[in-house]
Amino acid sequence: MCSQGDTARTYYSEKLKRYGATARGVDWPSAASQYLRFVQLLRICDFGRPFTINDFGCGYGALLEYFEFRPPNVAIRYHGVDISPPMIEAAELRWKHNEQATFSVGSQCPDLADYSLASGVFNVKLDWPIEAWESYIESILIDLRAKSRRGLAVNFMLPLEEPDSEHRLYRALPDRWINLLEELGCSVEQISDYGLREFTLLARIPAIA
Amino acid sequence: MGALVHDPNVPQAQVVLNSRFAPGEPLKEMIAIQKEFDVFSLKHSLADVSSLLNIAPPQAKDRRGWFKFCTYLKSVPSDKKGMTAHDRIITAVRENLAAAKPLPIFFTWHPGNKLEVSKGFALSFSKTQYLIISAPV
Repeated sequence: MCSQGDTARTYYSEKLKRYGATARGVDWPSAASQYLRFVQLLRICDFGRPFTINDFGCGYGALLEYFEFRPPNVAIRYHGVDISPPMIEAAELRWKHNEQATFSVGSQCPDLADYSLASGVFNVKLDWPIEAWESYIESILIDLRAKSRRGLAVNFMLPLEEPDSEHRLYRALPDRWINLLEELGCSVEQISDYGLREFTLLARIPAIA
Repeated sequence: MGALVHDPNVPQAQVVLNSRFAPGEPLKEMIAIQKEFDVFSLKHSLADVSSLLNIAPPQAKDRRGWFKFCTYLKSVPSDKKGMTAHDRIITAVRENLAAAKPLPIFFTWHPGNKLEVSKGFALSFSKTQYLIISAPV
């Protein structure tokens, strides 16, 4: 039986085959819009000291490309996870020179990191019913929370004014996902109005006293 | 441009370009990208900016032609004395996106030998004012 993960694997593997390791290959309209999302997501990170990061749904490793475009001033140990094996093959090939970067195929982050990010992974639901897709998102958020020491950041597309025009994309209002992250013990900050019809949630995990 | 981008695909390239600077959400996105990354700057070539913003025809051969066209604009004069068409586009877009009330941008072409920048009603059926950038072809 086909799962939501299988759907995502097939969808993104096809995109990669068609457009290669580019922004279009991971279904973003441009590298610049993808970078604009990374700016928001990375607000969760404290760049004052070295950290480790899980990049869930990493695609070909566009976040590493962003770090080349705008180099951080701290050491970052990166782990990219993607459900599509061809995507991870492309990422490993592309970033084989980067000793701080590792990758794995899967639907969960294998290890604990300081932060976990997921950009755009909840958007393409294709023909899945909303309830099933939301249950899939919930399972991912629970895993990201479990695999993060200091915080996680995710983004969602906001609804259109004409909601029926794009039934294969998942769009949401923030409340449901803020509530879930708060139930998971996070302190949540919402960022919106950054030029894209979407919002980013920064979920900080309180330090254990 | 027809020599660099296959003639029948030129209108599609124009649609791609204009849709990215259209009123509403596309313009908001472009303003945010410019504010964050300062992409329209004389430090960057128009070809690089086009690539970063993915403003180019989808077909591989036409994309290469498009980037050549962007570079070719460095040798084309503009309506500003001493400024090439390439630099005039970057400067005009940059100034517009940083303005208090940025206008949507409409890219078009005309027979002639200079790139022209103006403000006006690019679509005769619409009251929306645009920054109009017209390349000589």
